[in-house]
Amino acid sequence: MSTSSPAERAARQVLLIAVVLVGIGVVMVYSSSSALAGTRFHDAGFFLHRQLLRAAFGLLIMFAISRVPLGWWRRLARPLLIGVIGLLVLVLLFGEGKGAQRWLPFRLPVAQITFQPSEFAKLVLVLYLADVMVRHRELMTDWQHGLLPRLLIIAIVLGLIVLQPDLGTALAIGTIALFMLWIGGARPAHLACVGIAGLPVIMVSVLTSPYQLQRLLTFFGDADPQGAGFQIAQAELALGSGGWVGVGLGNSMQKYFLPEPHTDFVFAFAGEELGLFGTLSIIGLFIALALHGFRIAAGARSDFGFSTAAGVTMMISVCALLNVAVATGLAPTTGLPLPFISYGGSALLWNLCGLGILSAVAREQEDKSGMRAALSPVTWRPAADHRHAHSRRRRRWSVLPLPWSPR
Amino acid sequence: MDPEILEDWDRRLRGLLVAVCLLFAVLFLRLFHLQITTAADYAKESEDNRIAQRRVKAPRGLIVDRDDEVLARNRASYSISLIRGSTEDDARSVAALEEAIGEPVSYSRRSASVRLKRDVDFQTVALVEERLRGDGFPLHVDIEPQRDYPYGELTAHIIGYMGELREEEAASATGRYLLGDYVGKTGLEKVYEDSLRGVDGVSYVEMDARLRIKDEHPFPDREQAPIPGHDLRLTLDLDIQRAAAQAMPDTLAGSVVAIDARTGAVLAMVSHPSFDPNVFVSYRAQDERRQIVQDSHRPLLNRAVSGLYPPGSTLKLVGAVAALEAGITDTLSTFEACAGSLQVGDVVFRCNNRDGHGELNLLDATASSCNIYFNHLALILGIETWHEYGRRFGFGISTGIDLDPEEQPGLLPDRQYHIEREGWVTGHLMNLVIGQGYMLVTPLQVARYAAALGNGGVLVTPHFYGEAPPTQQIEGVSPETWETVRLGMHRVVYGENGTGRRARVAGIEVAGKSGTAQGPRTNDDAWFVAFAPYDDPQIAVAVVVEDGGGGGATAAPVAGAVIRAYLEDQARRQQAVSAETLQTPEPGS
Repeated sequence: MSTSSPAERAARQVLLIAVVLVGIGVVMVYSSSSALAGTRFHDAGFFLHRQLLRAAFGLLIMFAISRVPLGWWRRLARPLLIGVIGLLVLVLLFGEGKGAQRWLPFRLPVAQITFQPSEFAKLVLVLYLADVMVRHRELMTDWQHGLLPRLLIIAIVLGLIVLQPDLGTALAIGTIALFMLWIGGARPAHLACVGIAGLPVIMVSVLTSPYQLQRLLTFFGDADPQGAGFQIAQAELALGSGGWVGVGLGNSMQKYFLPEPHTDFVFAFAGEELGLFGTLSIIGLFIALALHGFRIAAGARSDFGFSTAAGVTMMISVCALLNVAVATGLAPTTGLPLPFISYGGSALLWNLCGLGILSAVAREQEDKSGMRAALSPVTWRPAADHRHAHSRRRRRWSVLPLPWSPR
Repeated sequence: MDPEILEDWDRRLRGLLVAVCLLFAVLFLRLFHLQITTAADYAKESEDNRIAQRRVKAPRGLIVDRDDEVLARNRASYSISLIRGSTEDDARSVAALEEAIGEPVSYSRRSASVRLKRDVDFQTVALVEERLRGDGFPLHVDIEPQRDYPYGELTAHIIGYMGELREEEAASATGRYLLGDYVGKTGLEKVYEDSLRGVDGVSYVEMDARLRIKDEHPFPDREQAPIPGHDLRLTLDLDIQRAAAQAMPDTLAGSVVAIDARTGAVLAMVSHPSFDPNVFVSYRAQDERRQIVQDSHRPLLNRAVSGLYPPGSTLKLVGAVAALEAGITDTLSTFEACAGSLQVGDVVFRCNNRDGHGELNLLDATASSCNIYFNHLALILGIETWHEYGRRFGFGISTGIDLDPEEQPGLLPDRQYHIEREGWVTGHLMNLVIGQGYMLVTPLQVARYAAALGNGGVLVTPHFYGEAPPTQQIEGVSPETWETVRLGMHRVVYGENGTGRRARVAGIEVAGKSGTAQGPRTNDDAWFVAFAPYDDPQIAVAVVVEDGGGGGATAAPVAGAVIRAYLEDQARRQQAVSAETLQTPEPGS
């Protein structure tokens, strides 16, 4: 495409950042898992080949989705939510996994694929909340009619995930949902009450699950730091041995000491092999992604585009923040993957789908309203058009100090 | 839309962006602190203090015979490994080891610990421990369990052996095995791999930068003890097995199978020639291994389940049962007198006695194994009826024994089988009824057939371990028929002209049937099947000796020796039981 309007540029930049992050991820997965794959499967590229396949598939889906009209997602939001709740129930009944039931197995004729519905739930909940907030915009400040029905839906999804048990993912999704409600106009006082009400649930879940309790105690320095905090201690050792530029790709020593170096703690191994330079590059990419995301949200032509873009951006930022905080010992172990980089198919796929939608929001800015009306199944409200007629948002944003010009 | 709400949305979005950036800034500071400010401390700690997770192999279950005699056990073996450092350091250490032991060492730098040499002798262990480690080379000695088969050749085909895990197997058994693990490759070691293996445990060690161990158990609470594998107590009786192996002619190949005629429990299974399975689990015996694999006598083949032979005259009883049931003959009626040969179509079929047996009834024909009698009988019977009875006796299908390598089903040809080849003529049936032609059986199938003949038509499933699988009654055969055939087999051993007189054993009544099968070899294969005691069959035996000549002369004494061993074993058991009863004080006394 020859157009290089700011919106198109933003859309392309989001996709480019995704490709770079996924590329770093594939390299890190190979570097950290080759030893494990070598001894376990006699094939140093065992995890690499899988991750490469998933990355290629995910990127393909992302580029495809970035061309899908936004209205489709709005129409799909509620059916998808029902579907995801069904999958979460299925995973409780038939799921498999180590210690917790998180994966749904599909036995295809060619291969067996496992699928983690809680990752899917993250994206679907963002779409659902975006849709519902636009639909009931005026009610969001009202507790009984605006907030409570939404909270019930969120509680069902989170409850099903907590039961797996997967408290880490539930907490991340809960945080994303609260921020989205806040953006949507809910009163901070209401949200604070919800947050406080959630605390007992978290406590019960922690107290009934020995390993979660152990993780928490470890974090607060109760248990011996190399007992239950084995992974954290090794991760900090890995980061600490990195220095400015790291020990070099493939030279990590710590990867021999951790059972699964290529999953939740891959950031620590990036720190050991690539040093502060590497970790800051990764964090920088996530910050760039957040800036782009929020800017796309601010410039969105529709209310649904606005809240979807904000939600997707929050989804990726919250997960990245939590994972890095755990790897650097600032938060208790949650078992969350680092978006785009950790080994694993489900999270990668849905995060890339999210970015596809984000860049679709950016592209929406380009659409002529006639075009949009033709493509979109959703009827556009006069209020939205009124807003665009004044193009207030774009003007307001130009005062923010951004590293690039919006025009 | 109220512009105030839009204003509000903008404000909140900006707030969020600021929050996210602030949090990332916190992470940046933390990273700077970890990676730069305190990096030296961490680097030092990382040098001094590494925690490695180690796998603790679960001891593999023992395999014992029915009297708890150990047939497969574990012994300690020593292997030398190197703690990985830089490429040059590694090369130096390996060179030092090579020089010390005077042997080349091959290795691959795949994981933190590189295994250099497996199953070394104690002298090498001492060398490494005292000299090389003293000189500062990061070598160490691991103790690994290794399989040991104390009876070697005697039980090789049954127990099988273990071998190193190959690539494709490792990938398919995701996560359960590591490369280089030993797994059951053949025999019961393979069939019962899952229960023998147990579950490995986990332990932790603390090491310094040279990976010298500082603390063997830094976290006792986190360690998981291995769960040992289950022991396997077989139905096999080592005394009977030994007797069977010794009775086989040393120079000839062949097989002996003895099963419990009531349950199918395998008491002995000999395949001759055999091999030493310890050669396959040892790292020192590469040459011997090659020799066994390349041996033209094929010692690795378990002839009892995978050897295919024409059964010869032992199969005649299928024809006898079929004929009795079809009403073609009874114990008294006779066919045309045997003159030593019979012409069917263009072909002349000869009897084992060239002068002819004269006029015979079924019992005498069985005892003297007259081919002509059974040829007459088959002419009336027809291939379909004969094939149907052969199938009922379990020929042409696997017995379902719990043993790997895959059991051979043998071949029970029907009319269609011949039509697809050179066409059907009645002459084929003349061959089949005396166990020749295309007919092929395994010794195990024949042992089961002998058991069914003795126990009134109960087809058992041979097995080595566990509950006896369900048996199956051969349908449509009257008790009178079974009794007649049993009587015929009794005459084989005790009759005046019986071919199996050399299977007699003092103190027990034996019934049997000899066979002399013409195969591809220069000499005939000698066969003998038997069951005993005659009144209440407990043991059924099948013996085949390749190139052995006459079945009555070569195979019958082997069957007799097995039955004698069984008898002696029973007597010992009786004694043990009565001794125990005597020791137990009478209640109330």
